[in-house]
Amino acid sequence: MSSDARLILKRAVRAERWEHQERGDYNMERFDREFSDRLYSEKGREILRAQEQGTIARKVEPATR
Amino acid sequence: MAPDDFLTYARLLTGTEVKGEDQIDRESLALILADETKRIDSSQLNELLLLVHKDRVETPFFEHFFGPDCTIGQIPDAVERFQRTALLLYGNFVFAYRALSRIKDGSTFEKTIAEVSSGPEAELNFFRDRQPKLLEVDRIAKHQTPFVGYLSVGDILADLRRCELLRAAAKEFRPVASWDEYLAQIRAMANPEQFGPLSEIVENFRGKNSETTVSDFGGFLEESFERLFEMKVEVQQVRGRATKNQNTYLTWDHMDVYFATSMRKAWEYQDLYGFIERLMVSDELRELDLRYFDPTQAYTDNRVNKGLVEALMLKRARCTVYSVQDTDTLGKDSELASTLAQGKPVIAYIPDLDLEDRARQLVSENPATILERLRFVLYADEQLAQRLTDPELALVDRVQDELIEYCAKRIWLSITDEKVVNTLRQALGGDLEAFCRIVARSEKAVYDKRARTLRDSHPLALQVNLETGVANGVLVVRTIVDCAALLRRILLSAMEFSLEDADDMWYLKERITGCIYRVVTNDRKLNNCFWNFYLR
Repeated sequence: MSSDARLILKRAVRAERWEHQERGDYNMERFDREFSDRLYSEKGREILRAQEQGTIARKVEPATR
Repeated sequence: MAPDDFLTYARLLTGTEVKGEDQIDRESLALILADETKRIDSSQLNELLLLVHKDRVETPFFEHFFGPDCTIGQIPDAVERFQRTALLLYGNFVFAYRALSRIKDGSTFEKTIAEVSSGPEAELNFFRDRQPKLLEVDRIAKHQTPFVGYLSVGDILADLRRCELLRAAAKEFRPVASWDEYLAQIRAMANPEQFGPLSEIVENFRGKNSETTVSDFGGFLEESFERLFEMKVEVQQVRGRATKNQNTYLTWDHMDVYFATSMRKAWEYQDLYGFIERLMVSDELRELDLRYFDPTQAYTDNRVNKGLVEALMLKRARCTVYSVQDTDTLGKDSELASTLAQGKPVIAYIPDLDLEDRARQLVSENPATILERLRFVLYADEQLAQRLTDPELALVDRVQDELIEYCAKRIWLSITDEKVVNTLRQALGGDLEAFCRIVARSEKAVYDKRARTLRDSHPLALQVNLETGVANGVLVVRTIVDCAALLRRILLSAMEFSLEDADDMWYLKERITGCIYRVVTNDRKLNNCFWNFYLR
């Protein structure tokens, strides 16, 4: 393998958190909503909702979904 | 002047060969042309033209190009003046001669050539007399400019949502929960393809904090969430101001300059900000108080509206300054083409890098940015690896590994841990500086090649005004000083040119840059076909 190919092909062995960059969007709210939809499982969303409802007194960012 | 010389100038003036040379009375011509100090007026020039079978000219044409004190010896200069005007306005000598020589009315003639004949004084007065704008742009600070783009902001939002999920998962446990239990909870709460990035965040935290607990991590997530949320609020505030700025740009009654650039990476915003700031405070431009569209200061969340706004700015601006950065993107290439197609000047600014300055600047950047710079030069500089010696190659290999490791071990993409960065800088020491010099050298090679390509070899560095067919060339500058001087000349209609007959072409070259600005080809077939589609 040539030297430049060796340098180019080097990548981190671990997963890079780049997927959201591929789906970038100038509309922040839409990006946030879509990313959140991809991130959470159904169970995750239920748990988050329950926590938000149970901790109204705490300063928590309102859910955007 | 010899008769043959006059025949040459008659050909250059009219753009067509002199026909029927065997029927020309050369003896009479020789007598008339013998005394080069002899003054001629328009009627006498017309007699000379008819002697060589050429169409005569009307008085305004003669007065403008030849002038009231024209002598036989000054005919060559007058012909060159005509050629310059023809190149600038028509991109064609034949049609220019036919159009301009037949105008009988002086004011009509002046109006026709006004675009290239208004003097710098009149233009300067225009700028000086212009009233101040009613609305100013609310200048967004350099470090906040990446917030008007989507990539940097995407990192913040993705970090915030991942932090939110990890925090919610941590809240589900008692303080003594094991890491395995916690990871199982994350797996349950996340979509399967999202578990990798989430567990990476957990592992990176544990890697930096030995003997840490889920409870410690929960505390860290609370702090991180607060910080990321504040960053999101800052983004919203910056975008609110940038949206207002965009409305301000839309209302300005004058728009002098459009700045075209790549708008992806954070450093592209900051580089453009720095470039515009230094350009506009230059002596040449400060007094003009220019109105320019700076894309780092404007925002809209609708990509269609964004495209329409930029199209309008390109239509309204008198010229475009194209800042050549990393990759040639569809956006800025389209903006360059759109400006040229409207017959307006494009300045391409390609920095002439000072290697030591640039290397120092790179060393001070975030390691993730330095790694991205390496990836850029690996992509853009095909000769990089071939130029490196074996020890340099080993060094690049080694430092790249360290930078990759740094990036892979970041907890958040949008929050830089300065302590970790400083530790890395100290560990790399002189290797980082040597690495940055190699990257800077490669960046310079890339920029130099881009400049040569645009100036000397790329066919589309000259494009055509779609309305008139006049070829319009990109003007390449390598320094801010030259950019300021050229921009001033463009805006004051004071550009200077040299006329060259070479390569079977007539070139009008701009003097500061040496770039081709207008051109006429001598290819008969191409000329005939080309102008059949523009002038009929």
